[in-house]
Amino acid sequence: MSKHFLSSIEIIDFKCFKKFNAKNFKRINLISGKNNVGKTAFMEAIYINLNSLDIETSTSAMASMPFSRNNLEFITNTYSEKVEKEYLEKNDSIHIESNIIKNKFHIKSQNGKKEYEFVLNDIQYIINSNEFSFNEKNIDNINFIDNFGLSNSELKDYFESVQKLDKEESLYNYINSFDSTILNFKVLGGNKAVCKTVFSDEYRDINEFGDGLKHYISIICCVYACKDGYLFIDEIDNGIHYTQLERLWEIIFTISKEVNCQVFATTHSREMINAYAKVSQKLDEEDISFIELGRNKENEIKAITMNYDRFQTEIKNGNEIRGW
Amino acid sequence: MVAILYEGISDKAFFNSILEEYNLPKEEVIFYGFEGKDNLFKISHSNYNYLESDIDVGRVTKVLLVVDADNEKDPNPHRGFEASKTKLEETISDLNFDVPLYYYIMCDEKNEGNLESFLLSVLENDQKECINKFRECYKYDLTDKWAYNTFYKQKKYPFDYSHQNFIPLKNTLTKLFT
Repeated sequence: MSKHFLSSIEIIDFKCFKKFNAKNFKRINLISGKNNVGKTAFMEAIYINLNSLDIETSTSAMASMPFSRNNLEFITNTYSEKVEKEYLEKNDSIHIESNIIKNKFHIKSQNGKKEYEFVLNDIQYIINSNEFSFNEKNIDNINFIDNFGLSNSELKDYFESVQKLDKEESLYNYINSFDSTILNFKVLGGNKAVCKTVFSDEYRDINEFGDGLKHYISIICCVYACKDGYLFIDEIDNGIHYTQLERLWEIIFTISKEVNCQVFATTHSREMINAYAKVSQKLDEEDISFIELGRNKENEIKAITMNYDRFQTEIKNGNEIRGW
Repeated sequence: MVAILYEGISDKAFFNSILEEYNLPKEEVIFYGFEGKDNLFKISHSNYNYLESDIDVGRVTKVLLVVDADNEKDPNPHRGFEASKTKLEETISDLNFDVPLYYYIMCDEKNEGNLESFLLSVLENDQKECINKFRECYKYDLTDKWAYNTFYKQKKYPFDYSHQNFIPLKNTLTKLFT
């Protein structure tokens, strides 16, 4: 496994997690569990942790999560420091430690004075909240596709990564294998993602096609964009027909290996899980894990991380692995 | 969830059908196949590591170990009802898991045999007679597995789940889900 890959995480006081740990992650990691067990929050915690190279990237990641959760795309153009700080302060205390980065964030309020305390890899920073200036700074090769998918502007950025890697031809082939009536995909006029079909010479806005196609293209472009980085995909099977699930996994397995990208994805779908098992077996790809989340009798969230062998055995035995 | 630890694939198929018959939630069962009785008695087996972590996180809250009694004339270790029972209790004690562990030994009315012997034991007397006569006539030793495959799998005789021999097993299974 690549050195930069995340292998373990400890999450304390973040959203639904009080004290949680999980380990033995691999290059591709599929997460499942019942509703409200924290699948997305688990990925968000990892996303924040990996983005915590400095205060700007860390706070940008922390503030971006509630945006995506609330589907507030309509206000992304009116991103204001006030809104960002409000979202930042939703997390008054976070402690997330991985094999890569240790990060803590805590809001101290005393005698009418509010301070932000950051501890990044054991270095402490204390900043008065009034003096804190929010500067949005993202790490290009760490990306999160939430369950609402990407905006056209985001898709344009990721398509540029495909172009920089000279992988347009591969992308077209993948799209064609998803829907053979689609001939081409482009970004025109700045950020207008469009497709051309066999039925017409005109390019049509990608939003005129089904959500599945956009989700599929988004995932492929994003894996390329996350070269030597990390990709998070919430509800990976969203809008994708069951007949395409194995193909999607084949593509993710292939590209993530090629560009050295670690992938975390969530699903509720048995079909998606079965496709994951089948493709990993077919490609003889054992650098995978399956993470099942559930609650113990004290109602604390816990994880089981299955390696390839155990996961295949559980599938073969027909055991329920979508949470307990 | 409930863990059922079994020896072979036919045990798993049987438990799936009996859970359905008794309207017990089979989707709440995690099966651990050991591919043999001797493996099930090895507490170093990787399945026990998985089971331990499942118990630690609350995925598994009760456990049932199922083995065949086999025949005490068999020279291999832990064969026969009493030897199986002793080894099961020792295994459960050694595992020292912090959840209820139960066991069930598959056997016929004479406390011998395996799953197939158990299933043959619930046949009507005339059906048993029929099989015994065939065995006498055939002269060669025909196992209970053979009889099961011949008469049950081909559905010549249906299961009688209400038979009294099923009651202890039904009670054990019911305990797992209460």
